[in-house]
Amino acid sequence: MANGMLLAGQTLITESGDRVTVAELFGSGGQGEVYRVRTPYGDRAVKWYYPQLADARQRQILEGLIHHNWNDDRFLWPQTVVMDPDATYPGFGYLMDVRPQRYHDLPALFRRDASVAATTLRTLVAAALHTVEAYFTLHSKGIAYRDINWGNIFFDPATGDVLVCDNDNAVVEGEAAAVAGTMDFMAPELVRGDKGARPGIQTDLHSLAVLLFLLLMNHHPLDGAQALQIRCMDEAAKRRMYGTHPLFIYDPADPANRPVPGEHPTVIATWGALPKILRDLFVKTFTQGLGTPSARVRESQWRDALSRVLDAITVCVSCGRQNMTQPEGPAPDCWKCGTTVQLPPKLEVVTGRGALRTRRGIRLDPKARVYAHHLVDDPERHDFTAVVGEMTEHPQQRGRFGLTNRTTRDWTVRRDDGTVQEVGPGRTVALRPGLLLEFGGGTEAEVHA
Amino acid sequence: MNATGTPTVAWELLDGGVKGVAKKYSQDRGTALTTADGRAAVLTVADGHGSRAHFRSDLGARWAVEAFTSCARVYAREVVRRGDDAANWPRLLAEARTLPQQVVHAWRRRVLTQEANSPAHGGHGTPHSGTPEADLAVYGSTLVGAVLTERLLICWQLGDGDIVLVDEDGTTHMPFYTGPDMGDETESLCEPEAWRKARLHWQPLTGGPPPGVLLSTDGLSKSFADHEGFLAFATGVRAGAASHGVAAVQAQLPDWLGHAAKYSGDDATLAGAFPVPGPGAARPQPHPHIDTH
Repeated sequence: MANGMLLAGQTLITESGDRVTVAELFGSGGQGEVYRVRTPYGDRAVKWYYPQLADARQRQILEGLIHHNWNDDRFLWPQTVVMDPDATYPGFGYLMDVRPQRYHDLPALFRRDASVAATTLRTLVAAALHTVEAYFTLHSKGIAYRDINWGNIFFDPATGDVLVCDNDNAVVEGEAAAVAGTMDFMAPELVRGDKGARPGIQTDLHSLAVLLFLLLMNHHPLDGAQALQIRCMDEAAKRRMYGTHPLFIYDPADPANRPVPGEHPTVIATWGALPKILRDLFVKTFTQGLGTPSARVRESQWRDALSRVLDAITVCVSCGRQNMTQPEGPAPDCWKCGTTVQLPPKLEVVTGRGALRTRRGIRLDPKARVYAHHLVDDPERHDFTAVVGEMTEHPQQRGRFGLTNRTTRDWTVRRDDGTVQEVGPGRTVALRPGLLLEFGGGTEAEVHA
Repeated sequence: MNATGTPTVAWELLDGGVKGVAKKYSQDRGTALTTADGRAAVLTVADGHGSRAHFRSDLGARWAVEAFTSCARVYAREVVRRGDDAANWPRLLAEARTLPQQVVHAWRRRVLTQEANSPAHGGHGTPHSGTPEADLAVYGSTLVGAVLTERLLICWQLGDGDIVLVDEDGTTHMPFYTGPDMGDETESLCEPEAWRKARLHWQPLTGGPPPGVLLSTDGLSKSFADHEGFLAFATGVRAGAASHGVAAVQAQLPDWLGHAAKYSGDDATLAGAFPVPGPGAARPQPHPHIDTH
């Protein structure tokens, strides 16, 4: 009956002739069903398209993606087309890796599921940053995803790592492609069906911003008071809400679509706790960017802002909760207990040369770390396993912290009294305002109160 | 649907409920109906929490069912209108994800209207908060619902309750079942932004509709000594519908539920749908032998 198009035990064949055996149905989506399959190389997953969607165009897109042969651990990329050798089951599917169990979907986050209880503000911002970088990488290869939405991004609540799934709608930018995706994530010009509007990297930027807003604010950016006035949320209503009359819930010039207390308490609270640097980007992309695609916030802008916010996350000493703080800004009140957050000293890291010097501020709270990406001016990727320095507590004096060298090279420390000291691998330097640290390669840092 | 656009599947419906033993009145509600010219079935059951803190939860359950059926009818018509073309499924899935928010909003609006006219705490706010905010907990209820067409089955669940899909051979499948309940705590419509807690099951019926879809409040499943007993009951309901007709099962349902409710002590409510050949279905070839008994 209802349990899938393929039967357990059924054999499928890949383009290279390998036989794979269907094991179990993982789940059903909008375009097809996903099964666990046994292969000569271990378990994999197969997405099998609904027959009506297994057409020549989808096959062409799929083969183009497989041809890219992309081996990036942030994407479950199609590996090979699979078919039924007996042609009993019409259509085709594709083989991919199985999604590791540590990754969870966003609906689990939205319903505060126990499986994502390890999520912290730090891992949430890291997930947003990784999401931006993943799509940045895709876009920099000239590929538009076309269907960015909350159903195809998965995250690890403990680390913020992300995994992008359902990549089978991605196409090379400029290639003719039908409109894909769902209205709530779609750029307004696509929802309206404007003449000449085509899904591509520019429309992806709108979808990405919606996804980031959902991830950080747990709410849709256009879903405010006006949606509550709609009696029947049918296609026409959605077309108006997302296409012809989109209005950002925090549009500074038009309060008509503000969140409603009692109905939308989460976004009211999360927006209140969001640093200005991110608020400004959301306002820009959901006001100017709604009508002018070229005004949409780009991935590099999101990346830089999210990275700075991540470095400025501070734990409230009163209640122990993490708080996002405005880089270079005043101390906010804790979102949880309301106490003014005590900002710890900051390590200002300077990279690059001449006029192109990049400055980053890392709040030195007891769990702060300096990563390899802090030491380059334009990091390709934020890797939170590449630890360069780590805050550690003095073994005899509790509450006294220093920065421990986790590299294999010496650091040089210059104190404001003119003394110079080498800090070897595994050694710790006590941090005081005015201390100057040289990490090597032209990167230096100073401690500010 | 066949080539002429006539539905090949129609739905026969079942619904009923009994109040728990020693209870003054039931805090459950449920309904089963068809829409879109009989091409879609909408099923829902709601279980008001019932304890002293939720003394208007019978109203909460009633409004939960009303809110769900109102929103689900619109959605079901969209599913019928666009669901034959699988290219529309991603959008229908996205719309299914937003339905709980509409339902919760409609429910809240109904509760707040009631509170404006007849405050549960006599117009003095909640007894504990001291604020004029309405005490939605008084109306707390769970909600389980489903929309069923020839091509798609979409289910939602907020809080306790059960959905059982019964296969032709009696095999059962419970889309939301995660194991035995470990307590009486349940998610509820009365929580802030309750729609966030709603779970969704989306199932294109590529192998045809399930022969039986049954929704029930937890008063029914808790009346059985074990989970297998409950599943056997569901299988029996579907088998009875297949062999004796849905009308015969409907006639017996109050007795069956009443028998079950004796054990749980709780209200028990059930709504179900069974596919039957629609007007566009191919006429079956006559059987050489018809067993009538």
